[in-house]
Amino acid sequence: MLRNIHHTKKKMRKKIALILAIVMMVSSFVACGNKGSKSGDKADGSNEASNDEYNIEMVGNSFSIEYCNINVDGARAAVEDMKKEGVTVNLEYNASADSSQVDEQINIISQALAKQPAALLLAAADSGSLDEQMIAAKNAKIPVIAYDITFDNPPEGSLTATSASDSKMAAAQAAENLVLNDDIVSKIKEATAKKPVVISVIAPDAIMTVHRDRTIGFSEKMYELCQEWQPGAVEISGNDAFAKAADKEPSVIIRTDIAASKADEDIRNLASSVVTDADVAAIFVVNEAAATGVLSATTDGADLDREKGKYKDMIVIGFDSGATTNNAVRNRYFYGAVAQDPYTMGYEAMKMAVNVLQGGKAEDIVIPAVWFDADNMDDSEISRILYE
Amino acid sequence: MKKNNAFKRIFLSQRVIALSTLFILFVLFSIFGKNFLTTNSMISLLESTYYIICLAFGMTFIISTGGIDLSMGSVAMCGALIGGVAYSVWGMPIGMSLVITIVVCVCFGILNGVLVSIFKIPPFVATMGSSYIAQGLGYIVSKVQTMRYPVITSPDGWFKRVFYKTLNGFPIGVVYMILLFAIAYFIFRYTKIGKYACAIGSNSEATRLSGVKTRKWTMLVYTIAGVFAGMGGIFYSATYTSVLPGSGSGMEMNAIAAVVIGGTSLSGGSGTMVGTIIGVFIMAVLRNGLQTIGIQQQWQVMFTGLAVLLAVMLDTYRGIKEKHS
Repeated sequence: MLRNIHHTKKKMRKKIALILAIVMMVSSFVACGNKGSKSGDKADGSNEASNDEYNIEMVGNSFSIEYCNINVDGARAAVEDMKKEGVTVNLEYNASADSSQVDEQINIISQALAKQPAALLLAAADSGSLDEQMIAAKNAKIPVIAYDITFDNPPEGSLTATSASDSKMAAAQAAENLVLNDDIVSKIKEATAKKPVVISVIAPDAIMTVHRDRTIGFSEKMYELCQEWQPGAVEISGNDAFAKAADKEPSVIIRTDIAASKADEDIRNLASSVVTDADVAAIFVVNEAAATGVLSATTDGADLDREKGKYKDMIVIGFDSGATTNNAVRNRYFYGAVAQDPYTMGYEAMKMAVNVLQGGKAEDIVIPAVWFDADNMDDSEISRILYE
Repeated sequence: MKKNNAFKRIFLSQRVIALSTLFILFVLFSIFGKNFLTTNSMISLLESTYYIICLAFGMTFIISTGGIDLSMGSVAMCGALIGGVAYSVWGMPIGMSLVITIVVCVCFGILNGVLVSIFKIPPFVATMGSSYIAQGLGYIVSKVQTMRYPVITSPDGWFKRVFYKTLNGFPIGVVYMILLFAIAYFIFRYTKIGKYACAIGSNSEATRLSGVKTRKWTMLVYTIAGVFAGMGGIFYSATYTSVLPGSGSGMEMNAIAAVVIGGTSLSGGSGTMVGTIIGVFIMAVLRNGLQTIGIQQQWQVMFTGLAVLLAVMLDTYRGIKEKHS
């Protein structure tokens, strides 16, 4: 019996040690997490600390993407600049794992709103599913500033302002620059219904708002531009969501090629089938993952070498900067790319939030996207917004 | 003395450890978290658990048979996606689309049951296969389009007011969770299904030799899990409005983590619905609580991993002890 008691005591000690270990772990995180985070609290639970001190929550849609972190850098820079003017902002940032985690982001937004911040900066993963959170923010009189991602139809009065590029317009810029290339224009002019020319749009999915908007922006602009040389003989094919028929048998096919899944291998397989298609004259890749897929399918871009590459006549255009796209553009594997300015988006969103809190007028800010290629990417105006 | 030992066994069970951990976490975050212990924060915490609770109940049945279901998240989302297509593309009433959600998930439950019990395919492989099928079916039926359910204020938003929250903000979903818990608890504890599930998990061959039709009961367990996946799909669409094609993969991992943290042994033979619900809340409190103290999402992911590892270590330790005693 004594042995039993001794044994049970030993077991109990082990389990208590386990509970203590869990408690210590959480406590250490609690201690870390609380450093400087309580400064703005008021007794009533509201986080608006004083006229010149605000607690602002920022919710992104992907904590692992460099682009999203640059949004936050911009917002933090605005906080520093405003500090010099006597305005203190306590910024707290959180984001879902990636932009497909809509439910995760909704939970984060709900928790952020529960903290009763002075304002919320938000890059929605899926703006269409945030109606209830937007209404909750409106009822709690929390101004919401959208950054990076625009809202299609927010509940009335719930969205204060937006600081973003227009994805459709930015992608349309890619189409406009593509038709400045004489070779592609000749191919479009020479195309016939029997020997059509294909312009492919490679996207990892047709679900995320930004990818959809970029696909629509490019393909519809291209559809419009090609009418000049092939009136009535241009169609948009591929994914049903973007399809647009031609009036007659098409000579120019703008094809939306959507990967089976966002997995790297699926994007690569799709890119591989596109580059080996002899009818394809140009490719527009809507994001970094699609750019990586194309480069992987072309021996790290070597097959796109303008002089000796296997696909030297193929024109590829990227979207957004990043180490992969920048290098491909610099080496002229890519004809060029359209870059957005995530830093300024975050910076202006934060400035706008404080402006609204101080009684200023809320205004949407359109952050222009820029075209860059091997010839202009080192210009100070362009290199300023390119990130690795 | 016997009474004393039984008391100690209960006191030292993983369920009690899990409950203590939940309590401690709750107290810690209430003290140190920014507005953690507020009505809004608690409602948000509860709402984030609805669909996971449904999946975790189904998963408890399966894990107690010694099996695993890697398709549950994809199946729930496939059901919700096809339900969404029925509503917004085929023009069916919202009630019918919810029925379709359940029917799709039950079909996948039956498929999993057939693969595991009749074709004798290991549950890991069988359900991994059906996970891909569910994702693919969702892509095809939805034509790779996000499906949006009606918002709470629209006329068809009644299903949200019934399953998610009322117009005055009451989290009505909690009532369903209590109801579902009572049903799952009753079935698992007091009916043949629960008892045979544990018996199959403990020793399938011995159970079969004692006259139990193990194939039939295994299939029934996977079908029940399909029903819970369907409920998960409904609560997901009620809570989050949008269902994305291809989503869902990985949700079952949260359910498995909750079941394991709650004390159900991964090797089968036993299970606890009370533990499962505690497991779900430990994860939810961690997720929401860490945010209130300013810790970002990436740390929360790591924390969930640590919690699962600790629970599995405890389970393994308990298994070794039982073997030696």
